[in-house]
Parts: sequence; C-alpha cells; structure tokens
Amino acid sequence: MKHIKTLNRPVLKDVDGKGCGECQTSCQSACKTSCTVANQECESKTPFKPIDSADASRI
Amino acid sequence: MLHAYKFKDENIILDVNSGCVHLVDNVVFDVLTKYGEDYKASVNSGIPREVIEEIDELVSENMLFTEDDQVTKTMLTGRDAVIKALCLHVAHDCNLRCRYCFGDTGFYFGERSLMSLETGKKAIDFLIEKSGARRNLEVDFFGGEPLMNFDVVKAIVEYGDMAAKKRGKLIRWTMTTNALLLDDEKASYLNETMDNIVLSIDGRKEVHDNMRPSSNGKGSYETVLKNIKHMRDVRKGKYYLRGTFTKHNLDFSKDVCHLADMGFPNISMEPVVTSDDVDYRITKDDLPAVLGEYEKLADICLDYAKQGKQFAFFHFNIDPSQGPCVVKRVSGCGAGTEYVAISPEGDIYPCHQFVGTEDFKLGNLSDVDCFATLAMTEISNDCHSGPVDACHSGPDPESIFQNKLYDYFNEAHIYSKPACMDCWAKFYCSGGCHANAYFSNNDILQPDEIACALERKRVELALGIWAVSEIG
Repeated sequence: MKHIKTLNRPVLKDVDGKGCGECQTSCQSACKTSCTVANQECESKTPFKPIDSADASRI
Repeated sequence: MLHAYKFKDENIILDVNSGCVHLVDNVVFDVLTKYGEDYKASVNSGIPREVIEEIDELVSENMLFTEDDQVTKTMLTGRDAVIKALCLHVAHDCNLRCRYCFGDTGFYFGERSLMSLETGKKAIDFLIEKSGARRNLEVDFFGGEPLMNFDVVKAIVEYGDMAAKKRGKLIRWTMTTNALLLDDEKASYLNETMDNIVLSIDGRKEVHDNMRPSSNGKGSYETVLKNIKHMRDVRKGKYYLRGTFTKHNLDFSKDVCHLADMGFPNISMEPVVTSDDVDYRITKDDLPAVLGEYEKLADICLDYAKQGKQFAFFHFNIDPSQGPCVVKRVSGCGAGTEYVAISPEGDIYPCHQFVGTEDFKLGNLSDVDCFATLAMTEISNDCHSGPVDACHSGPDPESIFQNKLYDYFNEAHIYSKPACMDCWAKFYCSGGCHANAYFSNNDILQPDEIACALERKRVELALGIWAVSEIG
C-alpha cells in the first residue's frame, strides 16, 4: 500500500480458545504498578517481558 | 470505532475493536477523521480513488471500522468462579509514615497486627482449594510493610511451594516493599524466591523524603536507595521501582530520570490516589501539567533508546502485536472474583484497596465453608428442577469461590460501564480500577475521570513509541 502502513494483525478479534484464565492477574490500581492490562502476558504466547539484567537496551 | 491522533511525525490510526495500528499519510488521515465510515464520499472532494481502495481493502480484511462483537456477555458471566491470586497482608504495620498512604500508614484503620503463620497457611490452602483447574497461581506479599514479618513470609513460601506441588500447581510469589529493611540476607532470599519485586521510591531525595518519612520522622531516601541499589546488583529476574507523584512534584519526569540515570531499568511512577481534603491531591486543573510530563517521558524513552540506555517506563510497555486475549481485556482485574486480599486476621476482601471497608468484607478464613454453601445455592438456582446433585455436572462446589459480591464484581466489565462503552482505550485499561471508581464516585461502574484522562494519554504515547520503534 502506498498511503497506509499496517503495523500489526487484528489481535483482538480472535476469541477461539481464549479466556482460559491462566494469565497473570492484572491489578489496575495505582499502588500495585500493574495498571495497564495491555502489558500483561498471555500464558500461551511468547511473553512480553520487562527488562532484566541480561537484556539489551530497549524501549 | 477509530482513534486518530498524531505522534511525532506520524499519523496514527487505531482500529479500536481489532487492535490494528496503522500509520497513514496526511491524505488518509484527513479522509478518516473528516468522513469516518462514510469515507467513500470523499471522492467528491477530489480524493484519489486509490486512497479509497486502500481503505476498502483494510475494511474487507477486518482491520478498519471493525465491529465490537467478538465478546458476548454470556462469555463473561459464564466463567468459572475460581481464585487464582491472593494479596496477602502479612503486616498491618509499617516503618514508614507516608503522608499519602491509602492504608492509613499501614494500619488500615484498625489495630497494628502481623499475620500469623497459621493464618498464612490457611490462606494458601484457601487459594489452592478454590482455584479449580487453574494451574498458575499468584501470591503478592503486601502490607503495611511485608518485610516486618519476614520469618512468616519465608515459612508461607516454603509451605505454599510444597502444597502447590502436591496439587500440580505453581505459585508465583511477588512482594511490594518499601525496601527499608531490605538487607543483604533478605535481598538474597527475595532474589531466589520472588517472581517479581516492586520496590517503592519516589525519585529525587527531597521529593521522596517529603512524602515518605520514617516512623521517627526522618527521611528514608538514603537507606532505601542504598538497599535498592544492592537489590539491583544481585537481582537476576524481574523487578520494578515504583513511585508516587503528587501535586508537589508535577515535574515527575525528573524523578523518573533521577532513577533511570542510576541504572534502574524498569520504573513506574503513579499519580497519588487520595481523598479530596489534602493539598497534594491531583486535580483536574493539574491535568495539562501531568499530561505534559507524560509527553516528556515519551521523548525521554525514545532518546534513551537511541543512546542505548536501558530504561522502560511501565505504562509505555505495550506491544499491540501480542498481549492478553480480548476476553481478559474486557473482563478487567478480577477483584472479588479471581483475586482477593486477606488481612492479618484472615478477613477476605475483593482486593487490597477494600481492606478495612466493612461493606466489602467477604468472609474470614476461619469460615470458608460459607463460600461452598453460596456455590451450592448458585448451582441450585441455575437448576430449575430436580435435585442439585442430579443437574450439576460442573466443578465441585468446594472448589468454587462464590461470594456475596461475586456477581457485583463479575458483571463490572467494560460493557457495563457507560463511560467505557464509547472509549477508544477500553481494551487497554479494562475499565480501570474498581476501588478507584468506588472511592471517587461511590460506584464501581463509574471510573474516575482523572484516572481515565491519564490512562488515555499514556496509551496514546505507548502506541506511538511502539509504532516509531517498529518502523525504525
């Protein structure tokens, strides 16, 4: 496409086999620093991990 | 529903219901923002047909103007009533006297108390018993200050690991601590046992000491910083620094940088949650300043990445190409349904924020049979004829966590919250914090307006940072 660049697939439309509940609890309260549910992980996919000491620089 | 906005030099279109992120040129941006779903009408204004064809293609592939129809209310209300996470208040006591503490400087409006090992074991048994078929469980040691009851923490972990293993389950342990007692021995222990550690520090010395004095009235910054630096040096797994900003430090990006520049890679800085009658409360008038600070933080993240510095701001850690499934995003945090908090006395509440609020007390660990009785009643109500045993083919009522507020919380998903229905950010915040909504508006279905404004800004910036990094 010349005018539009799509960066990701429609990840929210797939519900087959979803909602298993095995994922981490996503407390939205400010005191727990777990507020944004979208940065939680799906147990059945490659996790999106925060930086640990072994990681290279990233955002 | 679309959300269209500009980030740096990019025009970003978020197709809300599919989660697709598109970068578009100025022509497409103008067409979509002016015409919306009636975009084909733009040809009458001289828009090239190829533009319409590109939009058509995305629409046909369910990547633009998609409907919000993938999750039904039945999917949400029909979930198993099981617990998978506990917040264990092992200490209702604290060695700090933080001025903004929602837990009444650790006492939670009650007596100073520490959880006994006996109560801790009961809590673990309760979690495992009521977790149904869930394998992955979580326990967060919380307070007050959990390290004030360190020996009990260790004994609970030992007991819990054994108990979980016997039932084929896994408990992930976490701790939220102010780090004041985090000596070498405790740091080593936490490093070995905790899946995640949250360390509280507010940033610059003057900012931290102003709001987080010790019980003797002196500042705690120097000791806390020394201890978390040691934790940083020994830690092999996840950990976060977590700070609070108030009206007194609306320039909180400086506090984040203060910590990042000392080599702490994962940082969260949260707005203070408090009552109306304090001078450090964030108000609507502060929103422009706070939103501006988030923009500064986005610039800092991009700049640090260019320089090769390790730094991630918690709220910008969003990857739209993955993450939790849509069912999870719709259903919210699970407070009162799959997550509960337990006080040192064994009282059970929907979450840590409700601890001490009598109307939200669900029961006590000494009387867990009441939950099975409620579960039987629920099953019985679902069966309109015949004996319960004959019609019930689901999980054992003993393993179900039915409680008096279960339906109240289970139905508090984004489709029950009028403010969320038309909000483009609903799949990123899941409707926000129930407790924040309740204490702001006396209604868990009415999210706090200021929290929503901050969340929308953070999500915009997070998606923008991700988009920019994707295109290099």
